[in-house]
Amino acid sequence: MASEKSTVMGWIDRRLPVTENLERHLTKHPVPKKVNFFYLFGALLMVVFMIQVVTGIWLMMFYTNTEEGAFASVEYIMRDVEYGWLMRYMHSTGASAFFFLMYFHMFRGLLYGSYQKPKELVWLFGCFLLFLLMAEGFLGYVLPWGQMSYWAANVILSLFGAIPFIGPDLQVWIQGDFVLSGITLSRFFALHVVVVPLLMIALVVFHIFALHEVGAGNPEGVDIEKYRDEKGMPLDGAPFHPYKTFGALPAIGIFFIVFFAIVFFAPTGGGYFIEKPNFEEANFLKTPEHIAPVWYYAPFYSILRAVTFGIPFLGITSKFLGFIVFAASIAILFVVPWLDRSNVQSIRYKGIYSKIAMVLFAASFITLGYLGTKPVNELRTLIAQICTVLYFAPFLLMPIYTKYEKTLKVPDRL
Amino acid sequence: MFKMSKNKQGKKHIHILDGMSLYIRDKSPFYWGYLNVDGEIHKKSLKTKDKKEAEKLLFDWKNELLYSDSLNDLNEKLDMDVKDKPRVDNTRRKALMITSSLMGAVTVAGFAVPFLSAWNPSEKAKALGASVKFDLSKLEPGAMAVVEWRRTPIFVVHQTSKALENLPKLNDRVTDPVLSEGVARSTNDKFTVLKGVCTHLSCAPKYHPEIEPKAWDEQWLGGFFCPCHGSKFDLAGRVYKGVPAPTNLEVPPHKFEGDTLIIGEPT
Ligand code: FES
Repeated sequence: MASEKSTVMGWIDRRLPVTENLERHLTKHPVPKKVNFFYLFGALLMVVFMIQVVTGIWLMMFYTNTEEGAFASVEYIMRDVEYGWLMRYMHSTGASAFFFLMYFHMFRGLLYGSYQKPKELVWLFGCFLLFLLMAEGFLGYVLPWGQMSYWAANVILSLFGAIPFIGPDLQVWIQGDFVLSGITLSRFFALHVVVVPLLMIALVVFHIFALHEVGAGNPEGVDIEKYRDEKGMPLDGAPFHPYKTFGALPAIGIFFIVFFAIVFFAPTGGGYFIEKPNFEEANFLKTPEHIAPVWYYAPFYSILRAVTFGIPFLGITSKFLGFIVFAASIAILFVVPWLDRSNVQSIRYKGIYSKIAMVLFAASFITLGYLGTKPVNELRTLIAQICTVLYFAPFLLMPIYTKYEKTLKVPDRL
Repeated sequence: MFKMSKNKQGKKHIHILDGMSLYIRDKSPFYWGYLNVDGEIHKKSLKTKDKKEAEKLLFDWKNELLYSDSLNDLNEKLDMDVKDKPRVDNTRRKALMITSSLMGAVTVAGFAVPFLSAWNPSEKAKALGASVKFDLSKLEPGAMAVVEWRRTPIFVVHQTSKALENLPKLNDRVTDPVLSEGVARSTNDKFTVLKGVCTHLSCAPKYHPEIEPKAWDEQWLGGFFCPCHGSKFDLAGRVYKGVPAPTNLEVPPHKFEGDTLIIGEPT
């Protein structure tokens, strides 16, 4: 054992079990031998998280969190600070990358049943991370204090105002003013750079510790813990290092190539990553013609807009109902572990209904995303309403179809 | 893959892992399992003739022994703990727990007050939210002025007589005709004062007083159109049926003093 060695590391290990924990959680941690590229997104998410933290700290050195100074300081970063543009574009592209990877990472989880017993907590922490990421992205988008920052924030804050009884007061309390103003901006700054990132780091740690407790899944849904050799190493597992670390390197390389291609050549992503109106300073009296969210919120924004009716006899306005449905579209992810009654994990062994459900879910999510970036008209609203139903149906019907559909027999070994 | 060997007793042994093997007994048609778990020897018939199956059962059995043993140990230990402990007065302990957690909760709540209150509008923000005055004498009929109050655009519309005639015609096209508020939803029936904030999602509705067919309405009689999600309001700020905005444009607190309009003070 390392701790008996009379090396510096041994000295440390006797006081703080660094080697033991590194081996347990990193180098010797057993992971399934056979996984596919879907399993790389977790590692890539860690990479992006680090990019965001580092670039964020550097941006913070030049940014001014006041109503008068915010927009100008972002221009200053872009024009006068050496490589300031790189920091900012890495941070903004990082946000898009974060969501892109997160959506795939979670869809992988849905496909391969990465939420099933005993991985419920891993999944819950992950869902909570998605929620925090959405909050973080929203808060961050307000900081440049551009037109879209301002008006998009208005749309979201007015959702709180739509809550019956307490809504208007709640909104004023969140804003710290009767309108969205510099006061709101500074508190969003504090939340964006300190509170939410700290929570996210804590949750990432929980997510990974919980994962290492129950073991990573694989596309087959085979339980690799069952068969172990005499040292307790799963027969179908391999230590994380060097097998997975070197496996992930090419993926990280490819990711960086794509990432920097966007940073250098298309940092605004054609208006989907940073929207045009955001190159104009926030103006309280001028609403942009068309308020569209950044692409990663578009599906949820579509769901919000699809609700054009309320429940009058319960005193629920269409706006509040929209808010509820929008919140439910994220909340429903949290309960997936208890909706799935299947006796197999992976989509590969599930029945036809599960497969249809996943296709419908993915298709409706993409369609909603497309619609969310477009102005509304009657036809689009109708399609968005249908897609909203299709978004929820796979989850709401899950307890039924997963229970009764015919599944294939899962092999014992990978 | 597996080593086959005949040992002294004449049993065929199939070595699988250290401490794990299958073997065949002369009088039994089945595979038998041999396990050495931490020095303890276990043997039993696996009741199968299929080698693959037997191998699987052997692994299952090993896991069973490994895990159930540790569980039993744990339970025994826990039992012992309980037995060895001197009897304590649990009521007093409970009472202490309850009071200390209550006190803890009160402390936390007490500390939360200043932190949560700090988020309320500051004195400065409240001062900026004070009322504003507007001179109505220069506002032509049919024109609209935008006054800023609490950073919200306030629409002040000087209604034309034509508009005042048209408003009642729209009573059944709007969700909430609010007849009680008067024709122009105003105390003086000449000037309508509205918050220029769409009740859907806070965009600023655009003033379109013209009476002509519009892309959003063939029989447009003048009013406000919100470009964000297409909500329609008439000149008195009443919302049309079947649009995303749920309620009429809000009327901010205001009063008239001669030619002066004071926004932010109730009548
Ligand atoms: S904000 Fe005006 S219609 Fe949505």
